[in-house]
Amino acid sequence: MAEVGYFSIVLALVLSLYGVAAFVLALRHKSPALLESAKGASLAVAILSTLATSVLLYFLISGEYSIKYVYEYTSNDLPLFYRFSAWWSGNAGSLLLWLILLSWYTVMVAFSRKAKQMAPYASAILLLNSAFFLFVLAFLANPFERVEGWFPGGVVSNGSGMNPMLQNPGMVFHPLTTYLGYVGFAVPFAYGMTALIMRQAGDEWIKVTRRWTITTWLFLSLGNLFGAKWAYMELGWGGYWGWDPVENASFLPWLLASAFLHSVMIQERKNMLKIWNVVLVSLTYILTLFGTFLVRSGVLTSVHAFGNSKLGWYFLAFTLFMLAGSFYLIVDRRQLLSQGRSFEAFLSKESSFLINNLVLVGIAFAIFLGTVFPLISEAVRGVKVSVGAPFFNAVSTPLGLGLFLLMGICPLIAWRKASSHNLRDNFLPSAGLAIITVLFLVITGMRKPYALISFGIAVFTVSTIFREIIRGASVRHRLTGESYPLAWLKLMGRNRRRYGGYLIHLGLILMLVAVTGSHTYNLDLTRSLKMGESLEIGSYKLTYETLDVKVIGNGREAVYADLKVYNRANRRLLGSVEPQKVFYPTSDQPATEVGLRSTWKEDLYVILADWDKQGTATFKVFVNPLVYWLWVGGYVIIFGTIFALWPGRGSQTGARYLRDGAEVIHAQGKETA
Amino acid sequence: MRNNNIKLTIGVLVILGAVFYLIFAGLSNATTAYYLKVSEALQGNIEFGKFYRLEGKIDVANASFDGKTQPVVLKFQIYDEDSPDKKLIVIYNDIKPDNFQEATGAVVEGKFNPDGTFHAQNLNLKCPSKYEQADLTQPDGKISRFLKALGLKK
Repeated sequence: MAEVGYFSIVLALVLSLYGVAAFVLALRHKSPALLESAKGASLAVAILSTLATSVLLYFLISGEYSIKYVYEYTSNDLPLFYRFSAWWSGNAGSLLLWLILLSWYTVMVAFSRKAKQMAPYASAILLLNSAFFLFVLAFLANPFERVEGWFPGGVVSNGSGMNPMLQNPGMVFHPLTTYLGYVGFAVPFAYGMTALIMRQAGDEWIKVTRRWTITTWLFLSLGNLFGAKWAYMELGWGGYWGWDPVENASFLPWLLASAFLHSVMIQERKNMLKIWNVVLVSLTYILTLFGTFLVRSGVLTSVHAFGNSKLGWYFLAFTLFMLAGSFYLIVDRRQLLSQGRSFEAFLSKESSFLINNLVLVGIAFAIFLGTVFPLISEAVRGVKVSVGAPFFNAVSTPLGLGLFLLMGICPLIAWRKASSHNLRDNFLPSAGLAIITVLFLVITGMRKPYALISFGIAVFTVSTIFREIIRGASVRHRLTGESYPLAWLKLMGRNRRRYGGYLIHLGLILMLVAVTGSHTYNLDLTRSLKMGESLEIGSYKLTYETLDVKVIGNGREAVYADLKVYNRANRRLLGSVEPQKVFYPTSDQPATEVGLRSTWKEDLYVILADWDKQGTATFKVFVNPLVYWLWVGGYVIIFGTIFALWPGRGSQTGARYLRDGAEVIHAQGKETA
Repeated sequence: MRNNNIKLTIGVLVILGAVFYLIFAGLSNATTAYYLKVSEALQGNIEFGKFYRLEGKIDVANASFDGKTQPVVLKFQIYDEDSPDKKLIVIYNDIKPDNFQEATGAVVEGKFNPDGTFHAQNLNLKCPSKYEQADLTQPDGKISRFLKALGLKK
């Protein structure tokens, strides 16, 4: 059976290389038969990858511990759910996950009816990527390797078990969504490169890949969000983001993809920024490979790494190969991509999109530099120097705030050219509201400048977005005579791409509020308490009642403390928290289970750090304001993205704005004429 | 039109300038930490007030944690893998991370105390076993041996 799995991988490798050659030759010689054969090869690769994955999953679920991968990541006491998630707990399995996604994406592209002439090259590029992963799986990280000393017929009765930290729902969804978010960018990348290879200057590749890009962006957003949630709930340090190299590695493609999502709108509407878009999509994809290299090479110390392995260097080589290939194509075909037209006005939507792009790429550049700084400083100055969270915060806070401000200004500006008069009319009420909010916050005692600026910008941006929605609805109401709620619903429904985008912005603002609150007004305290003693933090008083042990299933035992939570001022009982240390049968180290009391205002976050025989226990307590809104913001983003993507009328691109002075004015009056 | 392009160019330059300014301003002694080997630190090759980053093995068995003092104290020794007898005392005023007992190594960032001990502000544990569970001494499967025989795998 293991041989079936391994043989599938080897056969798929051979077929993927054949497929690459067949796609290219079919185009060269205009041979429909060869093209069909190449498409067949891509399908065969996907089926064989699925077969290999099924074999691995069968082993994981049935507990075939003679397979090294199964031995290392599962054990008899592991619930079915985590046996399944063991698929991506380790190196080889996660590569298999990457492969299966990539190979089915390739099939979707190869058999796609859209942009038929582009599909063969795009499929060839995707198959080349699959071939790399198959090579790695076949020769460097074989998931079907047996444990040492195994002989045919030998039985291994139990595995060494999954790391307790991975036995958390967050660790099931975080890797899955992150991989979906990584792999998906291969498709727009492949189409972008195809457009260059085929010397197609138009924006067809962007139209074909729009859904891919947005869906992938959503998965990557979710991947980061679930990762943050997992870190918050499971790592027990009271935070959700630590600027760790691997966190940065998945934040970088997210930033560039966000820039790309905006800049393609300029190309769609105005035929501008063509080179920029190709560069962005290439860098986005290459950064996903680079991230994989960072996780697997051990070149930078990280809390997330997959142990040191040589594998990373193969990823680096492949990353550099892709980088060189796309760089060559872009430089060679640069005439094709020359600007269709120039910017018509300084104050226009396209120039504000350009600025948004520069800031996003600027943040990405700074984070990239900070992440690889130890390597750069060693190469340049001979001293290895690292930069930590303070650097990343110092750079990204002002730039990020600028970005949010821009998010608020953008809806106020029309395409092409905004008159300063209408800008002023739109701008002043929102700015006034923001200033009133800031003054109110100052009066209530808030003094931290960044927090004040941040909340001010949040209010400003939310109010311009709402003004825009209300204005659109009232224009529609005037033109059609529909009632306000109906006009509003139809306006949103008919322009889903636009209003979905605004919803995503609102979600991001909720996250900004959460990050600001939890970074500037968080409290923490570490105290040893005897039973019956209390501690006070923020508006809470916590009384330590008992310490006990309980069995919580699957052979796990938890040492838990019971703390009653009171309002510090009026001594009213609010509830209780139960921080735990969970002991797993397969591991010596206990895992922290945070005691959490989460409200819309703030999280009370309690860690049981240590205890002694007398029952004296050490607690670390955090009060993290507004964290709740981070997750709510995430859900708003999911909703906004699905709203924008939902097929049918209303999700198409807006009108092109090409002819001077004669733009199409939408019946809904959604654009300022 | 030309006027707009000039304004736009200025806008672009302002943003690029801001990005580079923030990067260079961000790279101060307060945000950067110098990599240092434990043996180098023990030779006195250090400046007080400067941030250092030490990577090494930790002596888990002799680590102590005191939760009753304010602030709490986690005290352990760190050493280079190639010279296990030269150990440096690290003091960390925070709770013991979950995986401390199984940690194979640690990265500490902080400053030196006047008495020569290291005051860690950040403690990151290196656990190769964290995602690659259980350090099996590299078991070799049949396929792997087959590939080795073919010279495809070292």
